[in-house]
Amino acid sequence: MFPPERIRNFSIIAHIDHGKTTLADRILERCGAITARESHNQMLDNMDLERERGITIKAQSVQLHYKANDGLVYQLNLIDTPGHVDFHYEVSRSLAACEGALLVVDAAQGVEAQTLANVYVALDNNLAIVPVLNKIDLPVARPDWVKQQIEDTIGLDATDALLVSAKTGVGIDEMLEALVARIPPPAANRDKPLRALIFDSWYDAYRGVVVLVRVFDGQLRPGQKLRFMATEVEYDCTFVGVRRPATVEVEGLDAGQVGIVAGQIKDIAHARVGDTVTDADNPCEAPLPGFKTVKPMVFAGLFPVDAGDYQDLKDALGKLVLNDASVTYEPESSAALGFGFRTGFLGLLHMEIIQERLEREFNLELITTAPSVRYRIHLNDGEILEVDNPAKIPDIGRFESIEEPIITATVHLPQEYVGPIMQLCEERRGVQKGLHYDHSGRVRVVYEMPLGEVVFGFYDRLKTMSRGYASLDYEPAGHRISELVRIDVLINGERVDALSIVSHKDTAYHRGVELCNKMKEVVPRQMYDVAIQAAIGSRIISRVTVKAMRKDVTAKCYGGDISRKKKLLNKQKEGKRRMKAVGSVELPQEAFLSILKVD
Amino acid sequence: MATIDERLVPGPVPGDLGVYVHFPWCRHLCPYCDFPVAVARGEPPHDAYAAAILAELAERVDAVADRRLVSIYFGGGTPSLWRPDRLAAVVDAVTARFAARAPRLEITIEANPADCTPPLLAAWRAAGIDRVSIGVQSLDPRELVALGRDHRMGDGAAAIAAARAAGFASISADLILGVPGGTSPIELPPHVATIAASGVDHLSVYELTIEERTMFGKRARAGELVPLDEDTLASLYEATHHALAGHGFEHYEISSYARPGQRAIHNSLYWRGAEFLGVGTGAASFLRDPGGGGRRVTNVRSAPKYLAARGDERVAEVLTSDAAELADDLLWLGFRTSDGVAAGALADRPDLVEWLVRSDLATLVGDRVQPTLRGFLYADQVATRAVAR
Repeated sequence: MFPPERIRNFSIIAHIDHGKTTLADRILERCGAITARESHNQMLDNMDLERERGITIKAQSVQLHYKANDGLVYQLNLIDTPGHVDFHYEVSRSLAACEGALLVVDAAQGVEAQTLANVYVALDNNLAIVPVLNKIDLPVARPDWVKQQIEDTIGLDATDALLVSAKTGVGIDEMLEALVARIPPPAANRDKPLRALIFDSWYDAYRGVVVLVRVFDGQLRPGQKLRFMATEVEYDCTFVGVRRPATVEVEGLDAGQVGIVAGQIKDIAHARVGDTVTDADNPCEAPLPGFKTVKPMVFAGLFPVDAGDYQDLKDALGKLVLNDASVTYEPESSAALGFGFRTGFLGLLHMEIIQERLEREFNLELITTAPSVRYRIHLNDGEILEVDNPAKIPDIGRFESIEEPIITATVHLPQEYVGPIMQLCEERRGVQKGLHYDHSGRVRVVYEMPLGEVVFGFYDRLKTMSRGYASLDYEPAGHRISELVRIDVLINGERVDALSIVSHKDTAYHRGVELCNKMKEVVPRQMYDVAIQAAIGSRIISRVTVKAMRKDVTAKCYGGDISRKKKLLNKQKEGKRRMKAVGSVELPQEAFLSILKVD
Repeated sequence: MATIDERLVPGPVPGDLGVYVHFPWCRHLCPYCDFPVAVARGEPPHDAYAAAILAELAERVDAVADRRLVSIYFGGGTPSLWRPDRLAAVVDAVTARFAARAPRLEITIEANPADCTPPLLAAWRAAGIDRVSIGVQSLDPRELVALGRDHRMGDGAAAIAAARAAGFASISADLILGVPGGTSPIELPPHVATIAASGVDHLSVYELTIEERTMFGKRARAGELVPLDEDTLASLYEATHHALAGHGFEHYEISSYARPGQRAIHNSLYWRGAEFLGVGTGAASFLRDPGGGGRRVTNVRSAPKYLAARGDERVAEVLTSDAAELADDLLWLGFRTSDGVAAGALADRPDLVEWLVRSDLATLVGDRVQPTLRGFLYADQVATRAVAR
């Protein structure tokens, strides 16, 4: 048994580009887990997509052993957390598995907004926070300024902040010593009944669903009958291991430790992030606090460009949800796009990632409809209908009221952008709930906003208007009745269901006009005039025409021209494959997302 | 489209073949031309080039000597610059190799108006050439200047008259439509009517294509040359069609018009998937293979390289098609001609036929699906659709 007083469970909080991955590699290297050569593989981020975008989607853990200056060996469990607003809950659970965090800040750039959001979550979980200034080797590093900024913005004492360069290795030893000294050991009682927190899970072809846990009380051993308290399922534990970073089987995990558990779990939905695992034969009294079932918030229709790929899309989604219980999908049929799936995501980035994985890993060509949220419709007869597809919102007069999901959005931003951002939030029907200035010129604004407004390109606008300095964090905040209407789009007089959107009555006219204008920009000229109209019910509110091309002909076609022409045709054939024929009109994929470009 | 039922020129039959001979030299470069050409400083190498052509023929003709020879075509460049005895030698060398020849063997030369002098025309006739295709391009002096083809190229109308007098079986003229800075654009260019009345029996009327690697391309990129807008060009194309139809010309291919019985035999080979052997710089060949597919071979464009090359060194590019791909090629090529495509060839493409007819791009005439004038205007749309299965 490893003495709990020599265990440290910690994570690294950092803004993208501030050197989290390099620093993690250094720590692994220093503890002998990897060699310098391997470190280029960026051990913690597994998926290609994560590596490319520099975003962590799945949590990970690595167990390390560090011989400290006091001559004792410490077990360090580095827990890598997801780093994006869509994964707010996952982040909170990963941090709940730790006693402390290294707050890594670029010594030249200072604290960035996204970091703040995660620091607040860490503070909420009572984590000990050790400030680390990275990139201290840069000539433009301003450690004193950054220290002051940390004190001003977060209210943390940064006097003893560590000065580190993950690139050159300077300060790594001192940082590890500080980690051992300043992050408390877990409060662990191995004699109590088992209580372990699930903070991630994924599907493994050999072991079934593999669960990443932090054991708080008791012991976890192979052969134990495990009960997942929220989902009320039981499985025999077949495997207990840790990652170093290769997976290694261990005898068991004791209170205070972090590791992975398998038990031939077939369905990832049985092992929910935030759930508590206990011993079925000797259960704990109460689960760990904080469990929530995360529900998809954003919905979009996914359709294969080629109708023949429907089964492939279905299989691909089936494989993806093996690894991601937060994605939901159900068959949907569209008059315009044929058969596909209405798919639910945690947020927009999550949606983008899933879509990209489907296209990349499963080689599918997809058309995605504009994202939507789930509305609660009170019909005239008192029945309540939940609708996540705008095309299915009933006509005006056929319902009593519509409730839409509301979020509490927290935006961190430099003071100079406050005016425009507040205006943006108010245009998007936000209601201000808080406005906090700090000494260093940073502001935190809190708004209650309809999620349906946020999904229409709000995040992009926020980033553009603040030159990338604003960050967004949000949490669900219930439902609210709003005066909403369905806007339909008609192409050559025919309603295209996949293009319908929902808008507040007051902004509907503007949205309809702008949607038509944006569509006009992406619909290529065809052999006929194409009329694009927006309508509310039977009332047309906007119309644009994409004028017909007058001709499309290559004049010369003799001996040598035929080869040239053939190559051109093959190129065009590829382009055509990505178009969707709606009636007699060919629409490119981006036409279905035009609404996202409307301000 | 109103088509004259043109069965006076029978289509190629399996086993028919034409020979294309490229002559790359010109007196000067035309700013719009991206054919394989070279400017002759002094005299072009008449004998050396003829020797190279004869050598290539000697190497390649045996493989196709069992075909029926239907045409020889001297294209360029400016083949009218080639010394007539060399033209005669090439004609003799080609014809000698084929036991089977069409009753009327069409032998064409492309000529600059300036070269259509009585002595040269007589020499070409003596060499066996029976068709002359004159690069008139325009009768509008301003357009000719814009095209870099001023009076030094000669007078188109006079050249046609001289060719007529020399007794050619067929006289064709090339015209360019849509020259910026030319005549009032929406109106029919007056020279179309003039030329139609001038005694030609075949016309190739091309819209000016601004090719990247030409002087026009460079000037267009620099914004110095502004092409006419699409609406104007489409109107010009339609006006030309109607004017020439009024003069008794059949619009038998997108850019080709003929009086009854005067369709170009050689050019038609290209559009019907028939075989042709191309020799000389940049020349293209198409030969069928026993499996039902075909190979398109293109020679190197550079004259010095070609002159030094032996065997496969002459080849710049080979493109092979299997039977299915070739069948698709014959569809889109077929829809570029007024004859269209045999309905039988579209038996497995009912959606395509339905779309063509519904979109007014083609009509069913007897057992053929034939393009309308609109079908010609949107030929590239039709082609993309025809190959996109």
